[in-house]
Order: sequence, then structure tokens, then C-alpha cells
Amino acid sequence: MLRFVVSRLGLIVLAMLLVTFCTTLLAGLIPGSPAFAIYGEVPLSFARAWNKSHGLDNSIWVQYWHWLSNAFHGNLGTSWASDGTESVSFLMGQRIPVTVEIAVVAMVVSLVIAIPVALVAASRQNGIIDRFVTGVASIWSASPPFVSGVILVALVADHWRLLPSEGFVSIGTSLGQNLEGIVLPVITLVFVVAPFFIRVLQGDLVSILNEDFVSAARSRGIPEWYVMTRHVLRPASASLVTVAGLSFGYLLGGSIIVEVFYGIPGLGNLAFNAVNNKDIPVLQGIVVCVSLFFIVVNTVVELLYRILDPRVRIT
Amino acid sequence: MDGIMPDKAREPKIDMSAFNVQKHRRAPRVLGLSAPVASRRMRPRRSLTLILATTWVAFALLLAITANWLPIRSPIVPIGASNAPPHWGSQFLGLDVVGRSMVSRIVYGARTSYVIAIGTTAIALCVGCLIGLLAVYFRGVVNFFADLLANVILSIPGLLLLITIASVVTPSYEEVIGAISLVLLPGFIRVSRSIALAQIEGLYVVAAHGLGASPARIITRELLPNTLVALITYAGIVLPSVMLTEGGLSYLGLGIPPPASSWGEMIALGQADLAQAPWQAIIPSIIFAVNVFALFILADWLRARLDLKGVDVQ
Repeated sequence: MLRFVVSRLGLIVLAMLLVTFCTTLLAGLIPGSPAFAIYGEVPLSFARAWNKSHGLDNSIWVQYWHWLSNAFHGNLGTSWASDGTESVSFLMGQRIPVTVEIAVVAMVVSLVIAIPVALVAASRQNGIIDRFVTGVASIWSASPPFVSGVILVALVADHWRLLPSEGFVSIGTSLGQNLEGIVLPVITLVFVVAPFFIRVLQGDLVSILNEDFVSAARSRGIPEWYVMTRHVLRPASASLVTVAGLSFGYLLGGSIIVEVFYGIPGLGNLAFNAVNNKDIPVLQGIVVCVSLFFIVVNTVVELLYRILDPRVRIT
Repeated sequence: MDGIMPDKAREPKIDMSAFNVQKHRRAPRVLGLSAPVASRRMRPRRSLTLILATTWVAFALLLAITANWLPIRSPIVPIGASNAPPHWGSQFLGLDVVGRSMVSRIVYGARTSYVIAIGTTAIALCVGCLIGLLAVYFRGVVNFFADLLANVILSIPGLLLLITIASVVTPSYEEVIGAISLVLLPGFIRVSRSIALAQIEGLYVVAAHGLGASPARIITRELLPNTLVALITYAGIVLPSVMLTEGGLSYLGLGIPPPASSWGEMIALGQADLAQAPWQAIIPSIIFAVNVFALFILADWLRARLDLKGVDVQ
């Protein structure tokens, strides 16, 4: 176990070093100077001076060392687009709470939907509910967020006029308006994540239902609901933990489309704008933070899995 | 003969359900992580869904290939008023915000979608398989670097990695295909490696070694044929997800640049006028979802048909 943790940590450090190095390379890969992308048509001398003032004339190793030593002091640089007035960490600090709020709500809603649905569907295999759930889950999993978003907005916001389709209000300003604004984005994310949970959990539940200890528990006259929750759900939840961990990473880092779709000022939207503005330091900061988070969550999940299911440790 | 064989009608009826025998196979599951219990001999049922899905994909592929020769208007040149609603005739499905025919844009969008999906999957399959097999054969350093490569790519969420790449390159077919296949690489490396690891200890590999076969020969003649089935099944599962990714990129305006049409871009364009001209976003949305769904069904059928339990979908 210790060996596993140590080797995993080594791999994380190495992978992070490579990721950060590759993001530093990005600035040099922009054709010409980033100044052209930010300021439009500018004289060549201006672009040269701009490159020099942003340290882009140094070798890649110097640039990387510079970025890395700053990053260890908590300084991720300043945004190019804002003319160096806004620091990357400030911009990200502003956006992270929004993304986290939506991710947490979407995660909780997905689990609250997925667990009972999977339990009911698995307990009556091949029944009407099972077929219905399997069908709906596969249709959902085929619709990316921008597709289900279009349908949702067209029906709920435009046709029935129940909820606003855009316009995000921060939680500090007005809780009611904030909740109203995140309903559709959360539903869209749930459409992406919940079918995945349902399929994974249902598959596990079905295979565990065939185990001897379930028949043994049933033959002892233990009520069905107790068998389902205690004997079946518990061992099946191990892989749900894995999937939930992975999805949480996805929700935090990959909800770019949903945020762009609904115009939510979150981390994904910041990344999207940074891409369009060629604002490499911001992009770099986001990629590094998200991938660090992603790697750590994945590793913790893997550890957790090993603790929950001792059989995995052997392989 | 007639006297010996019992009459069908007199055969005692046995209620099979009492013996806990599954009379019907489960409906095909899409991307289910643990495959439903299926014995090798049981063929997946050819359901109505499967027939519909096959028909759809065949039709879409046909349209994508023959788009140039079809009697449809150009997808680039406006042919009428902006946002003209659908009606029978040349404006079936309506016109988009620029006045271009939606039918043509959808047909050419199918071409974009399929070209990118197939190209990306093929490249990722070849490169991933090569890396995976080399890692298994040479172990040590090669294996370490293959693992590191997979881990670095996996450490960034796919879409974030793609838009990061898009920030420095101007998108075109080659760039989009290259970038998405980079994201797919870890999966192919892992699948080919896990299958090949089970083979490398096999007697036929040991025998080939003993006969003095070169590494290239062992990899291409002994390891490759046995991993190929798993890889093709995995490719089938990956193909629709490439379409989802490409659609997402195009939706964000970072996919194939206009005027080439892509379903994701059509949805993004239509979203702006969702309240006034809802068909513009809804029609490509539905087509996109149905297309991916059909491919998922086919992939699932393929997996059940080849009966692969060892392939980890994730």
C-alpha cells in the first residue's frame, strides 16, 4: 500500500511538471507575437517590446523556471488581456465559487436521482421500469449538454417562460435569483452525469444480486428493502465512488460548454474567453489548477477504492 | 420414426421461469460498464432498435459520402431570406440566419462529423496500439514513458486540453483530428496493453521467441492479431464520443472553421435566435443526438457480438 502511494505520488509530480512545462510552451507556439492577438494591428517594434517586457524573449527553460518559482510562491502571473492589472489568481478566485456551487448542486441532484432509480430498476430486472430507465439513460447519454440545453431552453425558458435562460446572479446578491438562474444549468449537467451513474450502479447491482449472500439473506426472511439497501447497495457503491469522483473532476473542469451556453461567469467561461483572447497566463493557471485537482481526486478515488474493495489490492 | 418421436402437442410443458432461466436476453445496454451476463453462444438479439440504428447510420454515411452529388443547394451560399421558416420544397427544414439551406448544412455537417470521427478513431487506434504493444514487449523504460504519456494526457479534462490546443493552432481538419486523437490515446494505450500483457506469456509467443523471431515479427504477427478484436470494439465505443467532442468544439467555435458546416456550429448559431426561430437549433440538436445514440447502439451490439468482457470501457 505504501509503495503504491509513493509511486503514485512520484507519477503525479512528474505528470504535473510535464503539464506545467507544456503550458509554458504554449506562449511560444502562438504565431508571431501574442501582442497581435491582444492589441490587433500594432507595429513590429511594439510587439518586440511587448515580448521583451513579458519575458518571451528568454529561452523556454528560463521562462519555465520563472513561472515555476513564481507558482510556488502562489503567484500565477498576470492576465495579458487586462494589461497586467489583474492577477490570474484573483480572476480564478472570483470564478471558482460559481463553478463549485453548480458542480456540487449537480452532483448531489444526480446522486439523489441515480441511487433510487438504479435500485428500483435493478430489483425488477427486465421489468417495465428497468427497460424504461435503460432506454431513457441511453438517450440522455447520447445528448451532449448543448443539445439538451437547447431543448430545455426552448421549452422551459422560451415556450413556457418558467425560468430565465441566461443572466447569472451571484449568490451574495440574491439567493432566490441565484437559485432561479442555476436551475437550468444544473438540470443540463444532471442530464450528462446522472445516466452515467445509473448505468454503472445498475450494472453493479445486477451482478451483486446474483451472488449467493443475497439469496442467503432473502432465504432468512430479511425484508427486501433491507436486503437491497444493506446487502446489495453497500458493495455496489464502491464503483459509484470511483465514477462520482471522476465526474466531480469533470464537472469542475469540463463544464465549459454548460457555462458558455448559459453565460455563467465560472471557471469554464474564463478558460473559454482566455482561449479566444490568447490570454495564455490565465489559461495556464486554469489548466494547472484543474489538472492538479483532477489528478488528486483520481488518486484519492483509487486509494479509496482499494480500501473499500480489498480484492483490488492483489492485482 | 414417427412412432418414436413424441408428438409436439403431447410434450409436457415445463415452466422455465421456475428454474431461473433467463428467457430473454436483456435489452442491449449502451456502454454498460459491466456487461450483462451473456454466454458466448448467445447472440445479441437483433432488436428493432438495432435495425433502426443500423439504417440510420447507413443512411447518414451515404449522405455524407454523396453530399456533392445530391440535388441540394450549396451549404455556403445564401438562397433566401434570413430565418425563413421550414416549408415544403427547397426550404424543407428552413433557412438559417444567413439564409443558407438547413438541409444542405445538415448533410454537409454529417460529412464533417463522420470524417472527423472516423479519422480520429483510426489514428488514435494505430498510434495507441503501437505504443501499447511496444510498452508490453520492451517493458522497462518504454513502458514507463507510455504510462507517463497516458497519465499526462489524462490529467487534464479532455475538453480543456482541446481548447488549450485550439488557443495556439488555427483549427482545420488535420488539427482537429490530431488534437482529438491525442485525447483518445490513453484509452487505446491501456486497452492494447492490458490485452497484450495477457498474451505475452502465452506459449505461442514463447515459441516464436524460441524460433528466433524478431521483435517486429512477434509484435505484428503474434501480439497484434490478438489485440485487434478488443481494439476494434473499443474503437466502436469511442467513435460516438468523438462525435460528441467534435460537436462540443464546434459549438464553442473552435472546431472546423466556417464556412464548412458542422452540427455543433449550427446549434451555436441557432441558439442566438432560439426564441424567434427555434427550429434552427432544435433540428440539428435532434439529429446530432439521434446519430450519437444510433452509434452507441451499434457499438454495444458490436461489443456483445464479439463478447468482450475484459475491455474496460473507461
